[in-house]
Amino acid sequence: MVRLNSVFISIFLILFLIQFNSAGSLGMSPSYFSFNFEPGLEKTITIGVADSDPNQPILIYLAGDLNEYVNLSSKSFVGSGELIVSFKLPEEIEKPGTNRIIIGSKEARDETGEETSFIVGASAIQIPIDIFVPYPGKYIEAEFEVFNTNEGEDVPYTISLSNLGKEDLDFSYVVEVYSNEELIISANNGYHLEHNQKMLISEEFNSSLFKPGNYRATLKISYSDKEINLEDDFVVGTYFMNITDYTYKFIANKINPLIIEVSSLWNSKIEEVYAEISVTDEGELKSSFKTSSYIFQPLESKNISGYLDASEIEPGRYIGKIQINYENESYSKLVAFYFEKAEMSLTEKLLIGSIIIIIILILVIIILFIFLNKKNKRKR
Amino acid sequence: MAAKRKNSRKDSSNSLYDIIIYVSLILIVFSLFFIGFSMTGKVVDTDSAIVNVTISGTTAINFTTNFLNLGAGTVNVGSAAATIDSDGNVVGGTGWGNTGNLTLENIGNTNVSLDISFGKSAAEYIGGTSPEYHFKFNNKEAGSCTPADGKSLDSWIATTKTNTTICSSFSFEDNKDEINIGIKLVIPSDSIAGTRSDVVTATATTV
Repeated sequence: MVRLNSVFISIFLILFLIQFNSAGSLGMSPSYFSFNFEPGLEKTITIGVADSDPNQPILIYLAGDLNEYVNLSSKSFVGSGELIVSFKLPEEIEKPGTNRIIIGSKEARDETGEETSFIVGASAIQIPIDIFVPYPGKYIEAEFEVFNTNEGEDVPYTISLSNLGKEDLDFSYVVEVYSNEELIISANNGYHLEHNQKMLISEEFNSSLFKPGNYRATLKISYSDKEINLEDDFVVGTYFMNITDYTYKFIANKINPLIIEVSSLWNSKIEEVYAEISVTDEGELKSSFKTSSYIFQPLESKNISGYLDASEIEPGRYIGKIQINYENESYSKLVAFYFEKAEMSLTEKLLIGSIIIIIILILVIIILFIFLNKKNKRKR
Repeated sequence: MAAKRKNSRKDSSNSLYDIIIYVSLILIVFSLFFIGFSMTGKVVDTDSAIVNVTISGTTAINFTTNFLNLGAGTVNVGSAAATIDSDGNVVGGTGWGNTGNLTLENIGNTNVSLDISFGKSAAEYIGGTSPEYHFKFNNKEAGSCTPADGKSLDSWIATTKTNTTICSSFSFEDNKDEINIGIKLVIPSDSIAGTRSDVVTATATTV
């Protein structure tokens, strides 16, 4: 494992030096470590440090908690190097929870020299080493997740627990599932969990209890005199693509974009989803088209779009049919489409405006010409 | 002469028509381009493959622009101080006016929190009576920096020699991993003369 880490760090150093050759770039890898506290725990880790400038002096420093127990193999590098960090923790740490050791590196920038009228940027990197110290007495942290499913499938859920206290404990839990405040099912159990141990409870609810729809699950964990309450929402999907919104106003006598918002109620991927759109007037087909195919991820909502050719459609109200085809199923909806007279475009407005101005100018010139002619005639 | 005037009017009218026609043609070309662009449709990639690879986390940042030259100048006679910044604004001074920023990029593969510290205080860097030394930061690429509590983009902040957390999260994702850092100085008329320099240190910590 140490050798593998060493290989990773060597690769990191090489890649870093090749990839980033501008001044002021500094990196460290791996980027994070964490350990559970044990009395007298000893660890040695290797961290790669690299700057894009092979001549750049790099200073190494320690910050954060527990500094007095940490040794660094080096306080500085030039360009790059492998930093070996070793620590031996004491028999006891007073502060429970996460204690963070910071291993830092920074570019040592020299402010003196020819370019002294500048503000210079220097990079620094800090890698945390988190040491988790158990809480006094009994203490649990938990996560609860209920997974989306499809109708006819069991509903799986997981409870992950970590005993982060100093003592072993017994706990019990109750899971309840609600649909619109109505209790559908509940389950309960209890276990023993030793300190510094984790437990993953993985169970399922029987599919027969669930119709397609949205549900809320609650979890209550009780241990000692404490209680944890968590909840999660989940969906039981059905194989159906719903049309939730669509474009219904168009400009007559032109090609219009048409957008259909489609929601997949199925908790699996559906491929080959496309829409067919047709416009009719008293049974006569005026226009129709198919969109390209889309892929829908589980329970995804997104827009399907295409272009409706309304070049032969006059202003008015028409009957539209939107049909969503997905794999071997389809769902259609009859809707009203409204086609309105085209508003003048900005270009047309400008063109007409310009023509009007030119006509006015010509008229003014003619008037002036006539006026001057008349004046000259009077003089004669 | 009258015939010439008529011709001249005719010419100008023609050129006006020409301009209208050219402008219309350009607008038509642009409109067609945009219609064509919208109608291209989506290309759906149906090929897929799974490649297993372990990527070690790397925390790395890069000052893609790591020199900021505010230029040279003097405080105007009669003015108590000159205020200059890296946006090129100069009030109460002559000279200066350089524009630019320090630019910082997250080139690693982890989000980081970002702290900024300066090597010198305002008194050490500028000197004189009531000098001021400020910095600001903004996203060169939108969404790069989530400002830390109490900090906001494009607001001047007094510099400190200790770390000031500016981004609670500085993203590593492409197209949202770069920020700019600007500087503002208030230089009193009795400030230290000569060239001055300072180092701004950006510290990235894995989050």
